[in-house]
Amino acid sequence: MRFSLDWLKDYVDIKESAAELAELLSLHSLETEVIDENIIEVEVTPNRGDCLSHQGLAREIQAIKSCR
Amino acid sequence: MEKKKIPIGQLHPLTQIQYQTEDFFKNLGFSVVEEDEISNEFYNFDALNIPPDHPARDEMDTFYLSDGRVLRAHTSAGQVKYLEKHQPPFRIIVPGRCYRNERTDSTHDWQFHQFECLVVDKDIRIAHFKAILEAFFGAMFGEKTQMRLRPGFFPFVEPGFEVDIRRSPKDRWLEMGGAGMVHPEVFKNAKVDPEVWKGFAWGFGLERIAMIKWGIDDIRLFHSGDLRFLRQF
Repeated sequence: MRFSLDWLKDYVDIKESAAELAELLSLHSLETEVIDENIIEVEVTPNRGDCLSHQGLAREIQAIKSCR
Repeated sequence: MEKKKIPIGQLHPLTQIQYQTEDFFKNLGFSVVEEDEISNEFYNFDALNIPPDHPARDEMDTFYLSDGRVLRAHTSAGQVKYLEKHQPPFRIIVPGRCYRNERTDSTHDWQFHQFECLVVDKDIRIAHFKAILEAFFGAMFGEKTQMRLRPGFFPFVEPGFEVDIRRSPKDRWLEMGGAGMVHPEVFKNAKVDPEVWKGFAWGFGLERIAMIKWGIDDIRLFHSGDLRFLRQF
């Protein structure tokens, strides 16, 4: 599923670039590719239905960032 | 009378990789087991914690035979079958051909080879499979090979990993396959007590290994039967 960084920023504080965010997500939870500076494509696995929304992914990003 | 020369053939590149892999794991005390290529829905899905309504079934486009059996979509189909018949502890690898009903491109083919590993013992941890894998990739691609584990999802392991390798720090990470600790449900389906026995498993593509080892860019060449390709190995 494709996500907009601008939209995610409504819910969570993102200072990283799309590439850095993709790397972060790939290494912690879901495989992510960069489409352009504002769009990332996240491959949501069947066990992570909660990440099929911008709010859900924002929660995931916050969780990853706060445990670092 | 002039003698007619009969050309001598040679081993297919995938067979070479398979033999090398088998030798490596035999030295570590693994047994090499072959399982049937035709499986059924129980062993291919249900026994591996993929119930009929599970979305993970969609990810594997399986060939169904007219009598309801299936061509195995992964070598993991042999896991529960083997567990039912053999008393742990054991260490096995299962090399073999798998089938998926999908469109072919340079990295996907409808038939491919996997080698599955299954280790079951009382005290098995992630550290064990990481060490064994690092040794294997070191032997296959050279000692400088680096490996990393990313979280991944497969219904029959918990936790599950995707394994990436790169041959030097400058290279891109290449995905090798999936691995993980055997899910307790899988043990229960095979009537093995998950409180006592632990295990890990992985499934890697032999084509993938050959492609990285020799720098081949199209998976379809392996089954093309093109002698110009095959004679290079």
